[in-house]
Amino acid sequence: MKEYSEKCIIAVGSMTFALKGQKLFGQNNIVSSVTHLAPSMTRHGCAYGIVLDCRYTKTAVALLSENGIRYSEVIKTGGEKH
Amino acid sequence: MIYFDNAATSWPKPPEVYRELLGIVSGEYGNPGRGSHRMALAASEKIYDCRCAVAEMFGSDHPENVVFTYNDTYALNIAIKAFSRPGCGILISGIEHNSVLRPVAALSKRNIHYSIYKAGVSDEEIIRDIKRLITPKTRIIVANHGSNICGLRLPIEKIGALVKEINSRRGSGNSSVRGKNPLYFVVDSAQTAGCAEINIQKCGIDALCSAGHKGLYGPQGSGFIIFGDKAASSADFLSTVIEGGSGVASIDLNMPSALPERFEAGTMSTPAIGALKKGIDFVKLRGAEEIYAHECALGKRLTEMLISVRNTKVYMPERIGGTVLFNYADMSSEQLAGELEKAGICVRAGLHCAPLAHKTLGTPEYGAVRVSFSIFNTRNEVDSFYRVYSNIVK
Repeated sequence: MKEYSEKCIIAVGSMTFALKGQKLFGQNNIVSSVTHLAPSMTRHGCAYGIVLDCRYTKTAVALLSENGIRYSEVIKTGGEKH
Repeated sequence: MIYFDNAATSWPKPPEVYRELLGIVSGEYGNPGRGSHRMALAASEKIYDCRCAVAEMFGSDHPENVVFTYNDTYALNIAIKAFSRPGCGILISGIEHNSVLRPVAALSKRNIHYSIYKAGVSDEEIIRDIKRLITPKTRIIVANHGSNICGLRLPIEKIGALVKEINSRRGSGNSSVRGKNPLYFVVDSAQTAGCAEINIQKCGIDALCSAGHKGLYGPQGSGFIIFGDKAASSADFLSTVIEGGSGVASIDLNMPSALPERFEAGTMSTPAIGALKKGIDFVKLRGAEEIYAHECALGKRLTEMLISVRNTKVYMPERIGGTVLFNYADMSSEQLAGELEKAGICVRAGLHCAPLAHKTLGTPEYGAVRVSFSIFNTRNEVDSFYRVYSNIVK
């Protein structure tokens, strides 16, 4: 049976922080990927985001904070088939 | 051919460095930090992996505090100019390279004063001289960890401790520098990265600058700064030197406030940085101390041989390292290096872009001949050099 889960994007200031966050999530068994955010999605123009299952957002955000990775917002995207 | 010019750039590089360089140049790698399609991402990951390797090697917990540059000169310019303010003072040592001397000389035309503290004396004398020269306006102390013309090293741990003590007295602390009167410690490790254990936290370094193509065995076009936590926490307070595209916050007219993008304008060299990671892996495997011990053994052997030749003057023979500086009688260093070159030996003559260091050492106007080793040099090469040299000067 196919499940639908909502994807969330945690917006961070740079590719460096996106990769750092992704590696951190991987170490904590959270699957994620890095994406480029369109200028319209953020206040200052281009940025990067870490895409993950919305169910893990709370844990992910806590991990970022614990490791000094600043994020600007969590953006909810549409459901994705997997 | 015998290559003894490793202080300029190391040669050869480990095979994995060449493989990685070629692999990235010919592989599917886009522009790092410019989009998230697979090729841009592949390049970004190469850069990030190297950030992690550099941070780990020099005791930083934060790969984002590693800023890549094209070489050590760019790194030093960025660090010194980021920390300086109009009216401030800068202290530099007597063995600085032009990569430090020229930037501070340029800043001195903008109401920034610089003084030179002693080098080539005991650690206690160095610290005493820094204390004598320091004023409330002093904002930066620069130390060349290892001279590029001889085996001389500066006691960066002791200077770092002094900087901490002064910051504590000034109330600048170690957590943040915003709005205070901080003193920053900048270290040039062009000649020691890869052949010395350097921990930026232990040494209280605010900016460690280095080349990637010398003792770290990376390609030319790779250099970096590692900012300490104190400086990184207030990165937006640090002046930028080069502005341009950073891949993020494009609407803003200012460079991004966070490291590393604040100081990385324009496209980074993925091939050079990716291959530098392989050089660092090589050094980690061999061990910096082991590499240094090997170079020192060659330096000691050559120094002893040269001292035995009449009319040969070796500078600072008591400071054994991987670099040996010498002259023969009144023969110009260029002429002597030219004779060695004819026999297939590559050394560097002249002032080595370090006139201040030569002045400190008291070498003649025409400079001296420098021999500098890497892990790939051998005792046999030193012995061959000696035979050739003996024939030239007999």
